[in-house]
Amino acid sequence: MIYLDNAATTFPKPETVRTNVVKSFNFHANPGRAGHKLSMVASEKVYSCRQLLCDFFHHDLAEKVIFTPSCTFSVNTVIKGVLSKGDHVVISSLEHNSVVRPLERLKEEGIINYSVAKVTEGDNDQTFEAFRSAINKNTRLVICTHASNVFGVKLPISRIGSLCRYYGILFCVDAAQTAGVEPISMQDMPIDYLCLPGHKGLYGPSGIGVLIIGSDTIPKSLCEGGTGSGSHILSQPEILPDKFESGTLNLPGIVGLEAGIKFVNSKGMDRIFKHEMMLISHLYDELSKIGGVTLYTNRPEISTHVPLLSFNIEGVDSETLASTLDNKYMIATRGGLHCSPLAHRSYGTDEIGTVRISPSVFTTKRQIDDLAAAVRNIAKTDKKI
Amino acid sequence: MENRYFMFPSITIAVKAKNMLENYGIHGYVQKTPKNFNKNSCGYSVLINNREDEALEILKSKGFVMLGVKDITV
Repeated sequence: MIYLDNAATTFPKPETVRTNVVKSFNFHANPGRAGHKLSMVASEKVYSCRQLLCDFFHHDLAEKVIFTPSCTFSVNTVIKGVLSKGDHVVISSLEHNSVVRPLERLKEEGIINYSVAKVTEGDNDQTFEAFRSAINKNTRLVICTHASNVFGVKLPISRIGSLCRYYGILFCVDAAQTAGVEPISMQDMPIDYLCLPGHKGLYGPSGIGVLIIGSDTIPKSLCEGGTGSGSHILSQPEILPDKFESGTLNLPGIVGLEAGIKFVNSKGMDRIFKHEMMLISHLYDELSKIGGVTLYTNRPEISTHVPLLSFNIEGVDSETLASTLDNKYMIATRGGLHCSPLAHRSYGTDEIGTVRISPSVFTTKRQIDDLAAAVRNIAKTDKKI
Repeated sequence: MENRYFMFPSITIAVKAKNMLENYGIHGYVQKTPKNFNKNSCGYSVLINNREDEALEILKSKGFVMLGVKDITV
């Protein structure tokens, strides 16, 4: 099988990730609860991953690195933790439902309002101006994806963050498609909250996400319960990371995430990115030559895109195309709307969806050529199916 | 011999403090804070038995907030 659905989750996982997850069951006590040796070993492992995340994202304070079940949970923690009645939020036109749905719920409940800033591919000035224009006196939070999970278009997050600093607005970045792919520095970029998954570009297992807090504005907790600290008080402790980590931590996920980050470091994030961009640009060129294929973006370039693209074949439904690639050619892709209706609306594909291709460090040029050949065949001969 | 307990509110801060001291060549280990030291805590302590005063200065200078410090003769 050729797996090209790495924007959903990377597959396969590196051998070191798999072995470390299995090994974690040798010390699978509950970290931060008891005082016995096994619990201490588990606690040291958790801290070690926190510190590695600090190093990876250039952050000073390990206690402000929060483990969550997913990037979506991290996003929800920020949205529901910092907003209150009357607040206004600005998002981009390329947001995933992880951002849109919690905001929509708060809007339906009459708590907040939000505006959508249009992203103009290839024109960061215009995108920046769209964000600036969308801000009003009630804007409390700007939250946006670092790069579209459907079209790969990057947003100028440093500029948007600086804009937020200027107006005293909190800034949250959804790094679902960029963590482990693009350099992100909490020291150099004006980011208040960075939300990321462990199982995509960082090559960890699923079920582990991270929220890194760069702000002095600490959100309210989304979930309360046992933390192993301050047990004499009935209310949730304010100390970090405990405030956001009620319940037993996902130790295998955390250990696997640490192994994944070390894998990325060993390969070199820059080298991985260039490899994947070479593949996706090559695919773009190949698909461009096939009659009936629609591509939606400019040619993916390192400065403007992350390594993924969307396409369609004229007359073939996107979900059917993805199924054909899977069933007939053993190529795993993803069709449909990718949980991002706003992004599809922006590109006029909300009715038909697209097929998304996303390589990983393990993808080869040969595999991309095989995909291009399969698309060529489908466009020529299978179009009627 | 004297042991000094540096008491912290959480395991994360305790491990961070222990690692910080190790950067200065001061070795210790983390254990649950004895209940009779701090009745209001369910926290963890860093336990060391050398260079105690220097350790205290380092932790203070690095901004660590402690729930208390206690010396125990063993």
